[in-house]
Amino acid sequence: MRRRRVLVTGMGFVTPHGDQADVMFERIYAGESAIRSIRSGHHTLAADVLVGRAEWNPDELTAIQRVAMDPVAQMGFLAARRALAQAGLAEASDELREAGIYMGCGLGGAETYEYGYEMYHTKSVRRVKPTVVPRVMPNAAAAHISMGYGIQGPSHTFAVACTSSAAAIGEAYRTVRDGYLECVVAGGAEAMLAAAVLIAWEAMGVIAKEHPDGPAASIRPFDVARTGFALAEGAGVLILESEERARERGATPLGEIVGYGASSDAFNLTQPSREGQVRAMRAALADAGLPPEAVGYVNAHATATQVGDVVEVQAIKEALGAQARRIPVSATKSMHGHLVGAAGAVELGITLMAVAQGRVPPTANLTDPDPECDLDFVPGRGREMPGLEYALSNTFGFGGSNVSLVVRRITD
Amino acid sequence: MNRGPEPAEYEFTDSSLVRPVATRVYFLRMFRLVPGWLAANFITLLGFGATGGMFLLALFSASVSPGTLAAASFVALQAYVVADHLDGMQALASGTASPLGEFLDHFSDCVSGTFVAFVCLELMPGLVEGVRASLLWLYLLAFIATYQERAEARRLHFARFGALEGIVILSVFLASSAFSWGRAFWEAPLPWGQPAYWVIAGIAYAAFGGTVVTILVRMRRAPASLVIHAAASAALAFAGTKGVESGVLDSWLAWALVSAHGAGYLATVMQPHLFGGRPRVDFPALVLAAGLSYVLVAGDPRWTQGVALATLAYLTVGATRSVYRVLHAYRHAWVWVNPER
Repeated sequence: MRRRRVLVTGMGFVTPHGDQADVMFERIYAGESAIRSIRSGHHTLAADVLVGRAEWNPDELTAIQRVAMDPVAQMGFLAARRALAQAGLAEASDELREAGIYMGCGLGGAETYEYGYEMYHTKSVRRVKPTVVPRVMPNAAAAHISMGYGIQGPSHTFAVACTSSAAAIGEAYRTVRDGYLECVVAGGAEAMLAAAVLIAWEAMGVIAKEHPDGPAASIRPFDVARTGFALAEGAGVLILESEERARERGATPLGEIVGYGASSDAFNLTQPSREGQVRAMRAALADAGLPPEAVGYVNAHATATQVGDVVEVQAIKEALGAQARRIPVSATKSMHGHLVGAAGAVELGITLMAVAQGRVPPTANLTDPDPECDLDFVPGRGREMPGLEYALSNTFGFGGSNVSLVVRRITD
Repeated sequence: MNRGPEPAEYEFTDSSLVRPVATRVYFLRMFRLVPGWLAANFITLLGFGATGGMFLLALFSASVSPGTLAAASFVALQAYVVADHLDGMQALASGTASPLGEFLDHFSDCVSGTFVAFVCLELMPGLVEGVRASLLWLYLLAFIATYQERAEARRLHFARFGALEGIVILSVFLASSAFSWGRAFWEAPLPWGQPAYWVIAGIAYAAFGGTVVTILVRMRRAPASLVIHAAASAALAFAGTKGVESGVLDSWLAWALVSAHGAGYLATVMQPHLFGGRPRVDFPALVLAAGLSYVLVAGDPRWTQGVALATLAYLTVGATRSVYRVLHAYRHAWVWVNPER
């Protein structure tokens, strides 16, 4: 089977750093944290929690759309709108009709779930709004994108915890590469900052504690003082097209996806596995036909948990070999938080922009590196890397799912 | 499918000064020229063949001028160094990396190094036989100590000044020696009267000796098998030196004795990583080496060639058995053609 080149022709985001791709990247490159402390919960249960709240304007959607969609679908839809506009596919068209939609979502409409349970369990209201089911279903974003743009190809939603959108993009890449579709709208969305969801994550002991210097200084991947991550909300959508189709349309490619590797740990629901992560990275490189030496930058999963960061460092060292210490590795979750089902898409978008611009983002709040985390983490501010050509983006999830994607700068 | 034993994990560090730059500006560009179907194990063999070819040229072509030998060896050395780097890249890029490939790569590096050393020493006619033999002995010992550390301490460390840095120096030497002005430069006497290529020999002594000492310091002990190997190997180097100087041994045979002994032990010391256990002490080799030395010093010279050949046969069979054990255990990892991407 002939492998086709897969180009990214559009990117759209809704993130804690805003909903404009360039602005988002500049803020992250400058090392600006978007992590805030919010009061979450009701009455006596309310507590301060660190989160990455998305900066966006729901009023861009119609009133009917806002009623029909949970915030997770709203953000996914808006990110898709931005991506399609950038790709020059803003209107429903013949080109889009046969496209596919591959989205990722870890949980679905969390706020709507919470509304439904609150009505039933605490207010004893037996009848809830009829929109609850279509709002909570994880594939709501994909469905609304399909309806909004007349996309009639396959519409799949991947629920693979934190790897959801990375898996969606990886599978979309394969679909285009192998000739099943010419174009796929791929990405993910997540909005789980509902009080009950937040306390569930807190119960796992993975949510960061506030640092004495404030919320913005609290997410500290690879630092000895790391305490975990901040949950965040948002969406990231990429338009993946075959090279032939993109060139034929005259689209401007923003980058190229060249490798995808996925693996399962078969080990533990929540504990990461070095072996599984190594397998994913090696599979991605093998898929790209690249030696580890070609990788110029790694966007790490790096959730700032005690175990996770060390395991990922070990995995990077094993997968990339002795030169791993010379490769810049950054953890952008230190600034935008953990977008769970959307994390892979947003971080891959950041990686694509880093490669396109030759500027790699930093790891914020890394002032006292853990001796066990001994790679080049680009602390503080971003770094110019004009010759950067290939980069690796890692996304690992609960359940032991690992995805690595390799991207390439467009040079021809 | 039986894929052979799972190798033990070990810590790998490479502090080479040249490798990062060389990889970025040279090897990665060369890698793009490698066809995707070409299996990594064949790239390893191509590199091995290149150094083997330069060795045979030096061995059997008495009529070849030093300039031609240097030029051909320079080309072969470049082919080897490129193949040595590209085989690993190709294995990982094609998803075919295996313990077999790693073994073949490292083992052929060691043997190729002895070929390169032989040719370069041929181009340094002013070096006394003892220096040649001790350089080869020390080179093999440095290589072996590197893998002994992996077997004993689960740590493989390539130093700042390692193989690639050495190859850069030897490339300059070979390239310049292809021309008469280059040979004149290297043969010009230093202030203390020795030819200029003594500088290269001095650097090699420092690099190999430094590697061995550093590893022993890191390990905080000298493993018995390594000490006995070093003693036996030193005896063989001594015997070879005496034999060549007294005209009863061919120089290739003296070289082959030390090389086969080193290669055999290296193949052994690379195996605990794959099969567990510890490196074995090769007492018969020690006895044979001591016997050969005795024959050369106090015995009948007519026996020398025969004892040397018998020793070489024993060492070659031992090395072949060691290598075969790995090839057999990981035979399924051999790749004829890379899978289509």
